Amino acid sequence: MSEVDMAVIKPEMMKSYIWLQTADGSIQQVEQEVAMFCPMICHEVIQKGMGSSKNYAISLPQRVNPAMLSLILDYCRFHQVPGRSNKERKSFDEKFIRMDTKRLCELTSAADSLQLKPLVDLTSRALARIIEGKTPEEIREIFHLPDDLTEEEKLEPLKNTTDDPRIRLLNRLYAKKRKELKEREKLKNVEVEEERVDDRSVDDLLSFINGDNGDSKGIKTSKSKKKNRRRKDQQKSTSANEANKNHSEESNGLNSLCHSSEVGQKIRPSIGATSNLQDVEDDIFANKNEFDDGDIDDEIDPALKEKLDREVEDFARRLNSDWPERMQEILSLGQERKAVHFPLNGNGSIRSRDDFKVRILPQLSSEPGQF
Amino acid sequence: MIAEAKVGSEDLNLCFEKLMMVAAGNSGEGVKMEGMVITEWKDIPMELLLRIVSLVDDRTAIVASGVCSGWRDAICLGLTQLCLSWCRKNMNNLVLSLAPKFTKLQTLILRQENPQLEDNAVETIANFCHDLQDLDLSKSFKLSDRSLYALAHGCPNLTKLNISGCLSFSDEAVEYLTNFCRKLKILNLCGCVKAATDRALQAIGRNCNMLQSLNLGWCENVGDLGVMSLAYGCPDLRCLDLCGCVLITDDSVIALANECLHLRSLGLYYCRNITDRAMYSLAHSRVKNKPSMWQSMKGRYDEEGLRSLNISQCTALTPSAVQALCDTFPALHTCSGRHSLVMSGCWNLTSVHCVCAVQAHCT
Repeated sequence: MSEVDMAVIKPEMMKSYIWLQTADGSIQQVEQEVAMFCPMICHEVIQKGMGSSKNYAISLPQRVNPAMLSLILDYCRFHQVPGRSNKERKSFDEKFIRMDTKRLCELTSAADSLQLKPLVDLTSRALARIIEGKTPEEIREIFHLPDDLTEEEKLEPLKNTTDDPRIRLLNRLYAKKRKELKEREKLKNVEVEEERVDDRSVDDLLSFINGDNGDSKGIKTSKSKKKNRRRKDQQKSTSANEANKNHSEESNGLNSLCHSSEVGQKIRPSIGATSNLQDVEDDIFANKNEFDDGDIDDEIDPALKEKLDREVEDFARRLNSDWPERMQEILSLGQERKAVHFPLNGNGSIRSRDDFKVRILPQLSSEPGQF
Repeated sequence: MIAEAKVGSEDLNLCFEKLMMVAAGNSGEGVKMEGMVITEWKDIPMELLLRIVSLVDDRTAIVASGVCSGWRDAICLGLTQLCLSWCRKNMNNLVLSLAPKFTKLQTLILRQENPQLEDNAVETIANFCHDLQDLDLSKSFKLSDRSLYALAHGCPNLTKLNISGCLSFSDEAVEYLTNFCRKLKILNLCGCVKAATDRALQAIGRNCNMLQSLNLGWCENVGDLGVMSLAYGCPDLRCLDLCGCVLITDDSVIALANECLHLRSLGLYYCRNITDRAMYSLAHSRVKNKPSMWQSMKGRYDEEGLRSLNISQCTALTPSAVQALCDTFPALHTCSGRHSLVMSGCWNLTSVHCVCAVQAHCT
């Protein structure tokens, strides 16, 4: 049949189509007015005369796979109609970009390669909204990005100025504990005397403390607690690994003075306006803290929990003070704890089982020099 | 989504394993999480990522630069503008850690609500951000001359510098800076009493010949010598704010009128020594320099001339002089919509009106 005959019999076939070929080799034809909405296709048709038949299909850029092409054509099909109101277009756009992040990224990339600027703007804005306010971990999770920055390369965190010095303290403890584990492994291999007094006497000190506090469970408990704590440390560390690293990084980076004043510095400016980035830091810590409490519940019964918390604080003091001062303090520790009442910190959201921690920590904050 | 949740738990497991490796002393710094990542996501091209980052706020941009190495590289190479004025407590530390990363910065806004910035941060900026063109250090009370010396050496491409409110800077340091930062076009020294002296202005006149805008508000030590040197040295001057520069006399304005033919905005608030002479010189200069019919309009003649003039509290002026000025410069307005001739406190000048005000009155 000649083309003219075909035209008479099937008038709808007069509609002109553009042939497009995606990177995977598949070829499809698209209504001309829809396809020409894309500048890149328009250019190919007008400047190079491509797309008029299957043999001369326009090769689309690699970033445009069939699924993306279909999405883009949907977009073009809607927007190329001149009679639509702005409201209609906006409403279409809002519904259009509701897809998972991965597809959104692919769509942005594909639209960019076709030079379809309105769609690139739309998808870019959507992606920008997704990123806003998220922490690096969350962003990594959403976009499936590798966690391949070293500790130094990651953003040095701001000083945590929330009213929760206990979180900061815990982070630092975990970081130091990890370092200790590392060093202990090295010790086993090399058997070099550790210079740090702390490492040698961890077990001794704990049992000493337990004995001093009149802990009825005795040494056995201390060992199991130690194990628990170590496991707890590790598991806690995993959930907010970067935060820990950041904080060890922070303590390394900012610690030009001795530990004691560092503690004081960080805890003292706890009240006041916080910047958004600090809120971000808070989010990380809040998640971590929840994880903490859940872990504690699983591991130990409430009676032991307080003792464990106490030991965490002691661990902190041990790290942050000199040996002779510490010895003195430990000896007097039992009496101090019973006698003193401290006001709560400014933070309103303190859970009841954490009261004990909060009561202890204000002491740290109010007398930083002691450490 | 379920798929994402799976990724999450895998994350945790691998983090745990990684930790064990660290504990076992297998790795030094930063363990590579190989084999963990779902790598189907075809990387967004760098330009697209930068476009997206340009749509988010500065805090998110900073966070994004710490997500992964690909993003870090893209953002560190592409980020040219950053504002940290939202920092309330830790701007100094943030600058210290960010400046070495964002070496392509061209615009950096560090205006503070409460003083946080210290010399070491500015020195870090000067060491790393050599492309810097626009720097806002306003209200940095803690900075000393060290910062200016550092900027002189590190940021020679500065075209816009705002050090208003930096009270500790001296004129010697400003002079030193101008020797190196010759491309300065916009300079704000508002309130820098120690820094804005005749000596500094002479240096600016010598070195910063492209200067277009200068704010010397409340710099009481500015005198005629300085302003005249400025006028002779900076022919392209368009905006000059001498509010509160009480030592200024007519000679300064006459020099400006004769030399700075592109002057659009002049602030003489509280310059009590200004008399009609200054007004007439401004008007006369315009008339004198108007090109004839045969000459090209381009060149030294500015079509509209003076657009904004503040002569509040200049009580020595008389209506006839100011009216002459208003008539000469069509862009000076006293009408309510476009009020640009400000005469607060000059009770004897109430009769001065711009052309449109009169017309409105008549019709």
